[in-house]
This record gives sequence, C-alpha cells and structure tokens, in this order.
Amino acid sequence: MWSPTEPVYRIATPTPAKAWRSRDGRYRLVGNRCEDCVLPFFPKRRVCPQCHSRSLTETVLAPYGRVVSAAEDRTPLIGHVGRDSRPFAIVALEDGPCVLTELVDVDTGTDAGGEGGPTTVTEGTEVELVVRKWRREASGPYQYGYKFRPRRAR
Amino acid sequence: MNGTGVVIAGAGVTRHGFFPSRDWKDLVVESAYAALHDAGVSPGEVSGGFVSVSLPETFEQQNLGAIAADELGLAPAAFSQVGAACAGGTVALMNGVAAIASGAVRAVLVIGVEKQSDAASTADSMLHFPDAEYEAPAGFDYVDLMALMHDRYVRKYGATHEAIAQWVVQDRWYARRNPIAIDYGRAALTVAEVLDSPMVSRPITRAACGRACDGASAVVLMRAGGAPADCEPVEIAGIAQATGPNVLAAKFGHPASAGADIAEAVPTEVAAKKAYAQAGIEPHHIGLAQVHDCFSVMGPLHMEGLGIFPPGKAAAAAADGETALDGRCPTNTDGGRIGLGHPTGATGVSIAVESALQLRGRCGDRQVPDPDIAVCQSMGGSNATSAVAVLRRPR
Ligand SMILES: [Zn+2]
Repeated sequence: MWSPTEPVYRIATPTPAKAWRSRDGRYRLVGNRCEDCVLPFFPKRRVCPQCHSRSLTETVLAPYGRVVSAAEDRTPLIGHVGRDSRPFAIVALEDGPCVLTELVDVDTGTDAGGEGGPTTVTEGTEVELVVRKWRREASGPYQYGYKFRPRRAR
Repeated sequence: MNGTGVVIAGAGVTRHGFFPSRDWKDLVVESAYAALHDAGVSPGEVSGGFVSVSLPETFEQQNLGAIAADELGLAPAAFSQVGAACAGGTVALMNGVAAIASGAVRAVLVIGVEKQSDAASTADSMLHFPDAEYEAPAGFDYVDLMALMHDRYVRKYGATHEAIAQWVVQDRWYARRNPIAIDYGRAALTVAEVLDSPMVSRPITRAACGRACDGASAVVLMRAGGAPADCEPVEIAGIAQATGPNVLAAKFGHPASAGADIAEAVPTEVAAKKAYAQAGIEPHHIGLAQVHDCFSVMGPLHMEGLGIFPPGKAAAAAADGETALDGRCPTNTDGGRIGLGHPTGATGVSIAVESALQLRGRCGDRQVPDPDIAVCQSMGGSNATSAVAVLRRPR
C-alpha cells in the first residue's frame, strides 16, 4: 500500500563525500597559487591556466574584499527560501581572486524602490567573510559555506 | 580559407512552446522528417547524426543518439548525443560539418531537442550548469549570474536599463510574426512593461528572461554540390567554438579573459574570429544575426562579441533600431530566446534553421530584405562556451 513515508525513487544522488571534499574552500576560502607564475586562484586549480604548471600551493585567502558587481535575488531557489530577498555580489578579495557570494546583514532597500541592487552595498563597499548555511545536500546533511557582510573593524 | 564545403540541404523545426502530451521522440521525428522532406533526401541516405540535448534527465533517458536513430527508423546509422549546455545545438552542427567534411558520411542529420515542460521547475532544471561546488549550492542559478553581468555591463559601459529592455520589445516584435514562436500573435510590448514586470533577480525582470520551453529542430547536412538538384542549399561558410571559465567570478583575471571580465562575451569573440576567417568575411559583411539572448542583456553582449557593435555600444544601437527589420543588421528575427522560446538543447539548431529560411527568403512579414550572410551564435553556461556559425546564400 502506498504510504507518504515510502522513499521517492531517485537516481544518481551524490553521497555526502562529494560536498565534504570542498569544505576548505567553503569555510575558509582556501585557494591556491601557482609556484611558477605566482598567479592566485579561487577555487583551487589543478593546472595553472597561464603557464600550465601543475605545481600549485594551497593558501588561505584573506577574508576581506570589495564589491565589484551587485544584484539581488528576489526568487530564491528551493533550499534558500529563508530570505525573501538575497543580495549577492562579486567580491574582489584582497589577495586577488574574485568570489561570487551572498551578502548578509545589509539593508536590501527592497521596499524603497531603489534601482541597481542593495542600497547599502555598491561598487567598492568593503566586506568580510562569515560562515552561514547554504542549503541541504541531496543526501540530507546541511551544507555551510562563505557569505560576506559589510566590513566591521579594521 | 574559403568555407567548410558543407551545406544545409534541408531544415525543419517544430512549434516552440509547452506540449504536455508530446514526448521528446515526437518532437525529434517531426523536425527530422521535415528536414529530410525539405532536402528531398530519403531516410535511407542518412548514415550519421548528432542529437543535442541539455537536460536528458527530464527524459529519464540517456544515450539519445542511438535511441533517436532507431526511433527515426535509421539504425544502424552512426548517431551520438552531444552536450554543450545551451550551445549544444551549434556544437552538434559543428560535429556534423566535420563528419561530412571528413568524407565518412554523405548525409548527416543534426537534431536538437528539449522538453523543459517536463521539469518541475526550470530554474532548478538548469542548476547543474552553474558551478557544482561554489555557485549552485550557494543558491545561484542562471538568472542570478546574468543579473551580475547585467549590473556590470551597466556600470562599466554606462548602458541604460531602458536600452537593454528595448531588446525584449524587439524580440516580441519579431516573435509576433513567427508562427512557430511561443509568443506568436501576442500583443506588442513596451519598455515600461518590461521594466515593471516582477523582479526575478534585480536588475532582471520576468519579461527579460528567456522562455525555457519544449521544441525540436533539425537540419540535413551534405557536401556542397552533393545535395539533390531541386533543394535550396545554404552554405555553412564557417563554424567554430571556444571556451572560457565556467565559474563566473573566475573570469576576473583569468588568462583566457585577456583583461575582460563578465561584461564581455569572450568565447563568442574568439569563436567569431575563427568562423569569420574560415568564411573569409569581416563583421561589417553580416546582414543578419541570431544571438544567445537567454536574458535581455546577453543579446548586446554577444553582438559585441561578434564584432557587429563596439564594446558597450550594442544595447544603445539596438534601441536606436539598428537591429530592427529595416536596420543595419536585423537580429533575432525568429523572436530570440525571449520571444521564440528557448528549448535549450534545440536552440543552436533552431537559429541555424531561421538563418537558412531567411537566406532563402521564406520568412513572410519578418523577412529581411535580401540577406547574403547570416551569423548565428549560441552560448553554453555563463559564457563558459560559445559557438558561432556563418551561413551564406549560395553564390
Ligand atoms: Zn602559472
């Protein structure tokens, strides 16, 4: 007999090991740097796209940066519905690489009718790393990762 | 160089829209047999094929090459499945050109198909294309990535939201006149309606989004001079593909970006230069273009990548009418991704079908006067890949 607790048929659902492998990048912004041409990368790369070196050294990138481009997600995906509006941005990190990140602890200005994204965050705004919940993995566990907020203290 | 030596001998396309009662196999058979009929080629003459699809998950089926070949009654012909996200159709076309040029096969079917209406959510259905480690799980889908590109384009080049919205108005203008378009026969749109429609990911509104939908399209490729005497062949003068980083933020400072970032369509520029060199043309020769406007801002970005307008100038040029039917380079004459609809795996083939029909002068009241050279471009991912084909009316 059908019961609502009967498992739904699914194929190719990744095990938790898949997301576990990217934990250092998600929690601490671990990137790497080419030993030959010193170009820094986030996410970590296996081959340097500039000089094709395979000698790359892991490095924890400084958790600070500046907003380059900003937008505001008004239709969050399944698994991200806690906020009606999710401001997000591309942030240029102090160490060079850029990251795409959700922004927290900012006034989105959603009701103010403003244009071009969150009112208190714009090109050049200084931000800092925090760790927050991303979404549940398909296999069940909650996945956490970086988000950024306006920088507080220097 | 001068051309690929390959022609489109026949073209076929289904209505683009939402068809709950039609399976992907129905769409493939309709478009492929329309193309064969158009070419005057009998099924038994086809010895190879490529099937482009971006979401076989919605079919709960893989290995579509073999399955399509058998469904079409063409087994044991050599068919395979091609994937390059939303550029897959043009990449399949490139594979087909290579197969004909190699001399291994005499007639090839290139088919694109998608059943987006079978996916419970089209935002989620495309979520395996953004980066699997740092974009999708952090909650970013394509509209979010393109919202950043839109914001960057406006900030970097001073383009206006109004000019970008005009792109949508133009797509609707053409789509209303295209009987296979999802928006065929619908009312004209205004810039205010585009800007005032509900916000999806600021600054992108719902009206500025491509319409993921169902549809299939197909072309029959043959060697120039080898096509049936009574068909109307269109020459594939050049075709090329290029790639770039898939992670959006990684485009900043990436060696392949050559100083550009997310406000430029770098792989489009690289592929276009190769395709133009093969065809022996310059951007100013192009009198008709189909570009990958999955969101409004992407239309101008790709027009600039194609070299038809200078960086940062395409949105304003389109708003000034330069891409309208009586403009310098009519663009997305089928209605584009926003007005025609975007059956993602089929799109790259659909734009080749539209270009071929335009070059033959068969497009009714959206017909461009006397086009000679048409370019069609499709993008996979957020400029992770782009493919460009140059089509020419036989001389
Ligand atoms: Zn290097």
